[in-house]
Amino acid sequence: MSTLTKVLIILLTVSSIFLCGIVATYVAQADNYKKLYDSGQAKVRSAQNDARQANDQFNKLKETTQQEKAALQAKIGVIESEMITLKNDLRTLEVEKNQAINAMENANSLSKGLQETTDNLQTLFQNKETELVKVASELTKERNQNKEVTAAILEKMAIIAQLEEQLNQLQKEKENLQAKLVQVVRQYGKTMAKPTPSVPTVNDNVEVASPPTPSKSATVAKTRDIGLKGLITQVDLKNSLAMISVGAADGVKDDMRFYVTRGDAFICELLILDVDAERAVGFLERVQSPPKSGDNVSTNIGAK
Amino acid sequence: MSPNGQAKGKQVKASHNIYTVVLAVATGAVLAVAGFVLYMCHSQYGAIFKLP
Repeated sequence: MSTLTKVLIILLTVSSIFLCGIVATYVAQADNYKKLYDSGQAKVRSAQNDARQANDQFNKLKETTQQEKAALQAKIGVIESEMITLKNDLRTLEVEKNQAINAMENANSLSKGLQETTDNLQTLFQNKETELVKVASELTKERNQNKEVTAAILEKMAIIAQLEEQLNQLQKEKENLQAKLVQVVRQYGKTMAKPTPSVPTVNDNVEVASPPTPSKSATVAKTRDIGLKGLITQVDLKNSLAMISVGAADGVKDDMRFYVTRGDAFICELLILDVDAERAVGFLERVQSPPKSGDNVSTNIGAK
Repeated sequence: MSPNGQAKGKQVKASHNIYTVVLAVATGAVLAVAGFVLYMCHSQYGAIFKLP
């Protein structure tokens, strides 16, 4: 065996051992790519599952958010409408607030005026109280005087009652006398004029010292002409009766005396015996010439 | 083949010397590494000459 062969054997052996060591260490330290691939594949699958789940959750969340968005938009619409109404209410309240402020200012001014008036009234009240005390003292004095005066008035009233009774008696006598006077005067075509009262009226405030004395004008009765006029409608000379055209409606009464005239000539007198409503019948007296129908009759000669 | 030249007609005998041992060791190492590589391929990928 040559030396070269030997060298080559040694070199081959050394190199083979070296290369075998390198290969062994490389293979021992090499990564297991299948395992890495499987693990990566598993990670990819899990990531895909996670992505699907996340996508599902995202879709669900999206739906829920859309629903919540719609609900919130509806709520926003309601809240906006409420806000508009609240704004309107706020405006009205502001207007009312301004009105209330104006009213309050007016009330304050009124209260100030009232305060001033109450102060003035209080001062007036105090003044009136002092005056009232004075008036009360005067009133007590006047009451005492009034008691004395009322006692005197009672006495006077008793006197007045007696005088009134006397006056009534006198008036009754007067009426009787007037009735008699009317009967007497009526025969002569006169009637009583309304008397003017001359007796003073008695008041409560008038102190009557003595009973009133009737004046002469009250006692002396005045007369006035009756002034009845008419015409003779029928004449009965046999019985000395005649009918005239006036009656009770015109004021003709029994025992009334009429004068019958023709022009300026006196004819006779007529004493009324019977009175009807619009005619009367009388007895002819003091006949100067026979009366005719159409002659004038009157209660007073010369009366127009 | 020997440098010393052997006589013709003599039988060739393998020389069992140190170099043969060295070659054997080298061959064994190569075979061992090849087996180790095959084992690792089979254990990790399940196949030796195919793609997984």
